[in-house]
Amino acid sequence: MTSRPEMLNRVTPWSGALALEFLTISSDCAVMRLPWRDDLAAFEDAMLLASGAIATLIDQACGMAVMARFDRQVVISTLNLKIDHVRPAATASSVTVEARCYHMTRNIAFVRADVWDTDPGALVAAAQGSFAFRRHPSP
Amino acid sequence: MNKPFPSGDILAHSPFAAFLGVEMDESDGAHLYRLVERERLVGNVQLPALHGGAIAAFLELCCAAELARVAGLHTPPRPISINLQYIASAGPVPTFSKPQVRRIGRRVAVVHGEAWQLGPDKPICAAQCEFRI
Repeated sequence: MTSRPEMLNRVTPWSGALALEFLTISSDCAVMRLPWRDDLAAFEDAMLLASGAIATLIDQACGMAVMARFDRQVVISTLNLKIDHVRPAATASSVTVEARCYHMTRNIAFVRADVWDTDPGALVAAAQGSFAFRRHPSP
Repeated sequence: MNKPFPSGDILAHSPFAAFLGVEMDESDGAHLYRLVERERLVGNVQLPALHGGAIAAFLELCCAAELARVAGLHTPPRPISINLQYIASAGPVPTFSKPQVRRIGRRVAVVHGEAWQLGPDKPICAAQCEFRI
């Protein structure tokens, strides 16, 4: 992975396959969006985003929130991720995630993430995870 | 809402499962779920390693499918929570799981699943899921 958002979907095929979009990134926070698509539906005739697609959005945004803390490339691996699916997203709706890296030690980053469909105050999912990171090996 | 489907047939009725590439093998009464090797599942092209989100999606899907099969559900179970522990980096090769339904209550069911690639004794990720049924 890379610290440059615009390169994300090129170097991260699974994020590209889901067409994840970058909205904003700040010093410890990443906001990303998963656009609705028929082939991401959980089940036929139910226009609901699959929870696995939302899990990908969360994992990716958490990683980006950790990267936002650095001005150089780091390799990030997820150690643990807990996702609460608070309620189903609205029919055929895209979802947005805001992930914040709220604490970091020498090698471990701690991240929280909120997911909503239309109103940031009405969550679809909430997540918390820990991530290991190391400097990118020199070329 | 969701149309009923034959029990244990979640994967065949999930567009996302097809997109992800999850299959089930039924042999000797055991159910083995497989995440087909696909270039699009990669999260880190340099290692290369599968995306943590793809592994999470695989484990949650096969836990739901196994629950529907064991409990004879005709509508998809809805995930409440999933807790994922990533144990080792996953290469771009097929991934397997044989989830275990730990409890089926009146409203909530608990399912555990581990994913592996080289063998069941070398897990790459473990998931604990609760579903509303």
